Amino acid sequence: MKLLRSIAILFMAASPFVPGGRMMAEAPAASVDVTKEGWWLTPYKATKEWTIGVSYTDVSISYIAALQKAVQNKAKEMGVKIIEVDAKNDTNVELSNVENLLQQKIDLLLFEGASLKASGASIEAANKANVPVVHFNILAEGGQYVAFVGSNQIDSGITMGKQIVKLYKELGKPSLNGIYMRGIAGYITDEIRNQGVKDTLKEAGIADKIMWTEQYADFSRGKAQSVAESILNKSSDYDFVIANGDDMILGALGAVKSAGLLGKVRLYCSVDGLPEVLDGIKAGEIVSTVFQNPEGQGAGGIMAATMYLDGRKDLPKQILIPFVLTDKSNVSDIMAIANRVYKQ
Amino acid sequence: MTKSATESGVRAVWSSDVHGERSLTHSARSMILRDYGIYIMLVIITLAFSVTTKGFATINNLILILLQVSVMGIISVGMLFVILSKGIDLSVGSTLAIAGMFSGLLAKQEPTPVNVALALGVPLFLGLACGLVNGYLISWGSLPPLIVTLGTMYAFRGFIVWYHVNPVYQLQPWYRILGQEKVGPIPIPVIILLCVTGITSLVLNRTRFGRYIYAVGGNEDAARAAGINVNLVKLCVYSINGFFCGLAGLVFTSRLGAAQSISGAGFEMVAIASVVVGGASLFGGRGTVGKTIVGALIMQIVQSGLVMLNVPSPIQQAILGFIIILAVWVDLFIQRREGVRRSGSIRGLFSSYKAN
Repeated sequence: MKLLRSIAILFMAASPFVPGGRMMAEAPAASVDVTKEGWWLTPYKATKEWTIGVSYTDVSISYIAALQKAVQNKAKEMGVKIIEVDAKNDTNVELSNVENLLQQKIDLLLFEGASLKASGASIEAANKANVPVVHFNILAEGGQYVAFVGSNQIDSGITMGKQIVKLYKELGKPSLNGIYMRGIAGYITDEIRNQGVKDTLKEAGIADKIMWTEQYADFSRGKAQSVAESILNKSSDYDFVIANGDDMILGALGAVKSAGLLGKVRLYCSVDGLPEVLDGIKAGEIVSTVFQNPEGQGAGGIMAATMYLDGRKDLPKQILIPFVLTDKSNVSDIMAIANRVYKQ
Repeated sequence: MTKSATESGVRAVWSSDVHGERSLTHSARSMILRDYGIYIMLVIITLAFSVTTKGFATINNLILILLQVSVMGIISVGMLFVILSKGIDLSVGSTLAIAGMFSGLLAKQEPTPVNVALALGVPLFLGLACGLVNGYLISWGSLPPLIVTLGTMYAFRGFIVWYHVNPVYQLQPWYRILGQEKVGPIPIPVIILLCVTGITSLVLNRTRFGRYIYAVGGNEDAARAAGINVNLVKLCVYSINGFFCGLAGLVFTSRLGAAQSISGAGFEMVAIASVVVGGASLFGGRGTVGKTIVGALIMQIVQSGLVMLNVPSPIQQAILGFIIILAVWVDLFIQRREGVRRSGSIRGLFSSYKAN
């Protein structure tokens, strides 16, 4: 296991390093406004070939793979060297990965915590070695950090909640029956989205008007399809389905289609913005999704890290990449981004 | 299996000869318990859900459960072959992902006859190839199956995630047929599972190769001494399992309408559980295809039933774990009781041989 891991690290360390060209007009560190939409697309060159260690949660998930791709592309463009490691969703693996990175004398750690509460040891290890930490995508608790580039996760839940409020008003029924595909019990992205949805309904005063059938489907498409089939087999009297992740809404779509309920049971909202879901929105099979931007988080993360190393000390502590509610009206714009980052 | 069948036959004969009518019915009852205990458990679980869950005891739901069990059923049958030979295969989920991904990539192409043939054939071939790798390392490489397949589980998964991390979708419409269409009321995956069950039952019960597998699993040295090519049998067993994983990958991808590199993660444990719940011994030599399918069905019925009852998934998991232990415990309990009775009647056993 340990040997496998070291080989994997060696392999990952060797692959992404390609020095960038030096011709484009570049913005100095101080002039990039990180509150402006799309700031991470500004061309930028590092003053020095910094070595940045990047720790991902699990690159076998398409979203994280897209994030990784954005990091690699931006690093190449800026002319910084990255050493990448994959925690495989295990904080123990994560810690030993980070320790290995620190051994390799990295200038900065770009960190995506595998756990909200249990990744502190990795951050503290970097603190102890005097290596600055920039969080991206997930802001894990513990230790000191320079900046966080990512989205406020609860916003995705709030956006979903608002969508349901809208649907409730639209349909004008006394109460709605909804299926909620949850992710994995205990995962931060699952719990915080659930909280966002339920809080929003409570604020709107319709919490008791939505009858939920909730099941965990492990963020997995196959499991979601199976679970949705069983639920719909018991009763087809549902108004809508929401999911805490796009893979699960796709599974539910399969079940709704094979039960012949497409159009009656609305595939209402989920989170991520995978190309297949965007296609579904375009085709009218899925109503909406909450797009989170792997390019903004990935390219933005590595760019903020580089600017900090280049001497910019006035970076905001929280650099937020907003979620974007995506429905038929703006799906084409979002698709352009998704096609760029999710292309194999 | 052949061994136990002979034994029950022998016992039935002596009971009627020596102990008369009353003893025969007693022995027959315990025989039913031992050989059909798992079926009784299936019926009890089904009845329990039928009573408690609205909409469970319907033809629609029956067909749905058969559809949902089809992929895992195919993998479990493959796993049974491996376990009968006293082996184990942890790489089934990763093999499924490789087969499914390449099948998906090919099913996205223009539906020319060549592409159609490739989309159907390549996953089977890749599954077989993965199985051959496992089988070769285990038989001629003399490596422990647990280590080899643990290694290939990581290696195959690593390869396919590296090769194509993003899901493949928008597959050609023809490709849906295999996983989503029906013949009359019966979904095609169920028909595939039935064919697999029938053919493998025949192979295990009626062919010399089938008997060799039981022999190798029962006692490898004795099998070798009897002139069986143990290495070849093992190679075949892992290849068959790989082939079924490829087939399962094909059905799974067609059913989902998309291929993912993370497909099948964790399937190995469900497959092993199905085989074990179905009364097979992890120490080889004992188990049947029919009971393995029943084992897989029990797991699926419990899962579907609990979803319909809206039981939270952590509790579902705990209940499934409990069912696995209960099933094996009941099986062992019956076995032990049987063992006592058999040794207690050793005189009768001899008399039956005399009678023959």
